[in-house]
Amino acid sequence: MNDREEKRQKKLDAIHEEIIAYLDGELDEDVSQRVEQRLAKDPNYRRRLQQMERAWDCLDALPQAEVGESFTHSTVEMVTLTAEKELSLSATTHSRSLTTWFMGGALTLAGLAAGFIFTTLVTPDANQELLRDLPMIENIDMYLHADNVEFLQKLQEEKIFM
Amino acid sequence: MVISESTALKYERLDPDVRLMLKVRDDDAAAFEELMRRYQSRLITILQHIVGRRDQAEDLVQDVFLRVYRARKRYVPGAKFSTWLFTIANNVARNALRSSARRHEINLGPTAGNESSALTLEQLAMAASGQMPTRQFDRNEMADIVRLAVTSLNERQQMAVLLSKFEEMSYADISQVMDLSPQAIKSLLSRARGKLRKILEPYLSHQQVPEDNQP
Repeated sequence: MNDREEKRQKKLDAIHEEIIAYLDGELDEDVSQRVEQRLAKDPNYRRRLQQMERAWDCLDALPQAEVGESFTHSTVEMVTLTAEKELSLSATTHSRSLTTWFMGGALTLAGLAAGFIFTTLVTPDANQELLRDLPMIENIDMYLHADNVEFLQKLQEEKIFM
Repeated sequence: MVISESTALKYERLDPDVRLMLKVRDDDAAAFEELMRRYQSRLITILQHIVGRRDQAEDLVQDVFLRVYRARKRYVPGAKFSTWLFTIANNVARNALRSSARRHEINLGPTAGNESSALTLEQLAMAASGQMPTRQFDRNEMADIVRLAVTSLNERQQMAVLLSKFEEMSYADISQVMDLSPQAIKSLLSRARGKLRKILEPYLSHQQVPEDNQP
């Protein structure tokens, strides 16, 4: 298609769009008046519009569906059933999610307990050390008077002060 | 899309079907049934022409109402109820056509199934080119011709034509349903109707549409 033909085609398309929009009542008042003036003067334009109108009216021959009450009822039934299914599914999902929460909670508590026991058993307790050293702490002043530990051990062995 | 309170109130005031849908939102089953009664035939008419089979169209309409029911709690009126409903229907139809295409199903046209058509697209094309002897067509034959002419349009053109013809929707409403601009709808309808005229014109020269079909 050369430029001239393309321009001509575009012009025809624009006229065509204008006619259809006029028939559909989609034009502004001033554009509608312009179309009406042209219709009164231009037999080709008028013929074109009549052809479009006739073809459009042909679509009235298309059958339109008629639906009985049974369709309404079956649709309502289908929607109700689906809604019930979705509700029970959501309840199941809810109860599953509760179980998951409970299990999660129990596991967390068990983990905390295990951590406590591990910490208690493995980590040295400062208080225990103090308890073990208590007799020495209580007599520290006395021990400080002795020059060496060996002398004290000898005294203990010979049970002189017991 | 966020819908302002004033828009929602406007549609609630103007459109009785919006008011019904708001009752559906509050779990009013009678309102849901009433909306179905008002729209089911209209939806089947459109979808039957799009997918080509009555039974499939009925299944799709049930799917549309199921989606309406599921969406009820989120419903805020941002358009006429019919515009909102046909937007859902358009999406459902497009999904169905896409699934059919994926399954490599051949759309046999609106006459597939129980009905049988005396005319084929080839015959229609022959007639359009003037090779078929012209004669008077009875009402059923004319309906077949028009049906075949509509199926010759692409999916978007068909939807726009059917919404314009049967629902008398404005370009603005169709553009909302199809998520296109009003200008795009104007061009779409212009091309579609040009094509219909081209196909139907040879029949119209020798045909009077039966009186009970005259608008």
